[in-house]
Amino acid sequence: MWLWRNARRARWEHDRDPENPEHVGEAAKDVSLRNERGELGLSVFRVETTAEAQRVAILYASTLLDRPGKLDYMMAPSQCFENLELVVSHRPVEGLYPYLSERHYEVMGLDESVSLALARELLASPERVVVRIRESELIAELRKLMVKEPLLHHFVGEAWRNLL
Amino acid sequence: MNHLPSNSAASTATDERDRFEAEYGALGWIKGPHALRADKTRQRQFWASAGAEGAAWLASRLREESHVDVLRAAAEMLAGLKGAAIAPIVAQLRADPTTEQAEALLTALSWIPAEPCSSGEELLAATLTPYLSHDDADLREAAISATAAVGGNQAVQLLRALQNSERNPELSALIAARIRSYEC
Repeated sequence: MWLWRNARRARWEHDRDPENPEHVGEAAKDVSLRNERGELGLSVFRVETTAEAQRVAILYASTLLDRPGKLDYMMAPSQCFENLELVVSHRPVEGLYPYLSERHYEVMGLDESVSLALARELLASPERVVVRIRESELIAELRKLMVKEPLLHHFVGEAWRNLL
Repeated sequence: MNHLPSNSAASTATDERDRFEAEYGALGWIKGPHALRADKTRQRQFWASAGAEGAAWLASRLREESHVDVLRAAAEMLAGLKGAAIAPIVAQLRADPTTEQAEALLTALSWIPAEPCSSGEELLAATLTPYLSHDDADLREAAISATAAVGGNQAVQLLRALQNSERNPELSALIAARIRSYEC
């Protein structure tokens, strides 16, 4: 099982060294809470397969981001969270597209040092997957998904709909 | 004698910065009150009416930002300011921005359509040039897309100058696609 997280691809490339504090510090930016804004848990989406991860990405981009553009994401092996004994709690979010809401979890107990430890753990894992989906691919896949899921029409942003 | 107006002006400026900071804190959430559709609409309206001052504040504020969702949302808000955002974005891009800040600002430009006969076109093109040949492929990609804000023949010229030097096949394809779209 993986935990899907919106991320900056450059922070997670496979040439990143878990022993390099600079690389770890950069990667930790993607697994840190917005403490100053009162965030208590890190949002992730639980997925079982790469196909599910891609579907989360398409839905994340088209329903949560205003404007079409590329999206980077990481599939983080759940084992990395278990190794640090982090609690990952199911937290459906009202208002999110149901497929996303059902898969929304929060990683609890993060602070600056734990985020760094988690980044190190993830960088050391050869099983992490980092993906970039380009805008053209997102739109093509969204077009197919909207045919299958009419409810999606109510969630997709206007700028995305204009491109379909 | 002048103290009262001067203090008052300083206080107003502080109030405005505080308001910008409070609104900035609402950006990029997928959960909680700021993620609700009505609040997102309110955020868009706030920034779209924040004018050149709001754009300058926001473009500068991104220097301290590293959260991908906030960077993306701020870029969207800058794009919503349209032409008013271009000069502040250019100013920040010319002031040694962080990588994340530069990518967000270039992304914002990619969503701002070129204005015909814009007086800032030359400066904008000159600002994009170093990013189009930057060592960081993500910044090159963002800069290629940002040529949308230049538009027309000037954007085509910028991109044609890159065609033989770009070694990344994905970016070469993006350059070719952009040139085709500008020539249509």
